[in-house]
Amino acid sequence: MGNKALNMIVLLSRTVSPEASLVVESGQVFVEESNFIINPPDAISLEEALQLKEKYDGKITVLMVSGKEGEKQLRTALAMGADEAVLMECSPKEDEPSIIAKKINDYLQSVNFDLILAGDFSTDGASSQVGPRIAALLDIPFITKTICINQEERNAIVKRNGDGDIETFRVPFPFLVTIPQGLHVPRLPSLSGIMKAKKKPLLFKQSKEISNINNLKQYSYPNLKRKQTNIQGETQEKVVTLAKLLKSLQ
Amino acid sequence: MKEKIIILGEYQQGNPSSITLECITAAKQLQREAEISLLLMGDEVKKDVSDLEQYDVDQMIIVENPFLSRFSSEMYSKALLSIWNQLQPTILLCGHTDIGKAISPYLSEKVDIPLYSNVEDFESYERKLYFTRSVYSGKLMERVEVNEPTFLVTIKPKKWEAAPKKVGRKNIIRTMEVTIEKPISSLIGLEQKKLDSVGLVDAKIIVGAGRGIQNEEGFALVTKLAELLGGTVGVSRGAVELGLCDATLQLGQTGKTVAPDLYIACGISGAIQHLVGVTSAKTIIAINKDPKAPIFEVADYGVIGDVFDIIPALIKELDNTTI
Ligand SMILES: Cc1cc2nc3c(=O)[nH]c(=O)nc-3n(C[C@H](O)[C@H](O)[C@H](O)COP(=O)(O)OP(=O)(O)OC[C@H]3O[C@@H](n4cnc5c(N)ncnc54)[C@H](O)[C@@H]3O)c2cc1C
Repeated sequence: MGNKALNMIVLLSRTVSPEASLVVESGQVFVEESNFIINPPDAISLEEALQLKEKYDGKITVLMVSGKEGEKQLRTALAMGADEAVLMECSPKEDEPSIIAKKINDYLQSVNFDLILAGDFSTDGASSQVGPRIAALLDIPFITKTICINQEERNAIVKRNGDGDIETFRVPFPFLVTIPQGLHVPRLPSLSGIMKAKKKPLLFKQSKEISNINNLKQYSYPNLKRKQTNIQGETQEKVVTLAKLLKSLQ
Repeated sequence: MKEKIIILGEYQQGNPSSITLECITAAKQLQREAEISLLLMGDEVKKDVSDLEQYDVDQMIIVENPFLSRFSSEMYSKALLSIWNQLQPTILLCGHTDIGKAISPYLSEKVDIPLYSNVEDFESYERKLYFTRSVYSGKLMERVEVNEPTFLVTIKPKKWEAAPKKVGRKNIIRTMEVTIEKPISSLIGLEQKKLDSVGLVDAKIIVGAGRGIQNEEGFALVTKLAELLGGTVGVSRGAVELGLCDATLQLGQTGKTVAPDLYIACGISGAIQHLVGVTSAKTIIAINKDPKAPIFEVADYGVIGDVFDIIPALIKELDNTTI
């Protein structure tokens, strides 16, 4: 039996660029729209999907739950090589991982797929919840920290980065994986990719509002400052001081 | 009826992991007058973990099943769901570790109970509970009001003290059954990694290697220094990108969180994504040739200099003074 072409869904979110500076006023965060990018861990799962497509052929749909502004990041994903994009609209209040997962599930109920790829976490909320939640809603297996996906007799052979060992699993399609940071360096959109992206389908979907408790949240800057004693002198003097310091600390 | 707090335990080499003991301390800090149970899953927990009776909780819950011999997201999440349904606890607490991260959202979705992830502080104020978490790549702290009486929470490693054993204590040990259907996914292979990262999280002394260590030679120097101090090596993403080591040694937002007594950052600039993994270190020493490197702002002691000058000289000095 040959390998199958893979019908893949890549979950994307938009986050504030880790380089951007953030303004906090009265405990709330203000971010300029221009600072939003594809969540970096999600760009890595998109890269994995693009490489799988190069190897096995197939189709990549990028799926995002966000306000209309998310179109910009979806176009970038299309320019990187995704085939189709879907934006499930939501209100700014619907930002909890559980709500996002439910909206994604609503959409996935009506489409076919072999593989869902999710990022390890979002750099904003950092809760790592969306991927496993979707697997729970769809009742499909999920594997976190996935570092390699191959096919063998219509099953997937998946390697994951366990703490002590690299583990290999055999999993039937469909399933969900999360991809760890650092697995790939995501490709940049090429000029021809950007041109093609303009003609690729981008669907806007309405979804029913999901009520949210909206727990009150307050933001502040962390305090990281320390003693900051500078050890001075010529190299040898510094080293002697440092060695003494190390002895005293042990 | 009394409330129930369940801690999802992890263990290695015969003992509960530090994060599990940290969960015990955190559970007590919630001050809920609840019965606190420590849950351990595996195929032969009673054989694998010694002193089951001596942890500072009210009850140990042991679940043994051949399907649980190693962590798998599928088996562990199904087992945990079954246990949740049987016990109906008020709160489930676990570490924000590979295991906790994978299975707590699954459970939250299945039982429809809210989950707070990667929490690093609990606070009660005017009878309200607040959780603090690090967000926006470590640049901001988020304080969220917890309105629900029943919730799941994963805690950031190294933010609470590990609860000590209580010698002479006799815990109730309860054995529970879970029925698990044959898994859909099956483990078919294991390969051991070169560098073992298991001890990293609990190391007392960590020497950090960054992009500034540049090459194999630099990495060897850092390894030598760590050995000499009785510590171990952790790295920044810069070092991982150089291809000098496995990503499981990475410290930071996407790596491990550590709290050693001493962290020596060598050739590390001090990006916030790295710092969030190491700022719980008691003492931080930084060696960097750029006096403006942000690492110096978060270091107790800074040495401005080239790692290829400082580390070899330091190794020599330490060698000389120990003899
Ligand atoms: C979403 C996201 C998540 C991330 N997660 C992590 C994470 O978990 N962990 C992590 O570490 N990073 C993480 N990063 C990357 C992080 O932003 C930095 O890029 C990374 O930490 C830089 O590593 P570095 O300090 O080794 O390298 P650099 O920033 O390149 O710094 C190298 C330093 O070495 C010094 N140096 C160079 N040569 C010498 C010499 N001969 N002697 C002395 N000093 C020298 C330089 O002055 C410089 O300060 C993340 C980034 C993003 C966007």
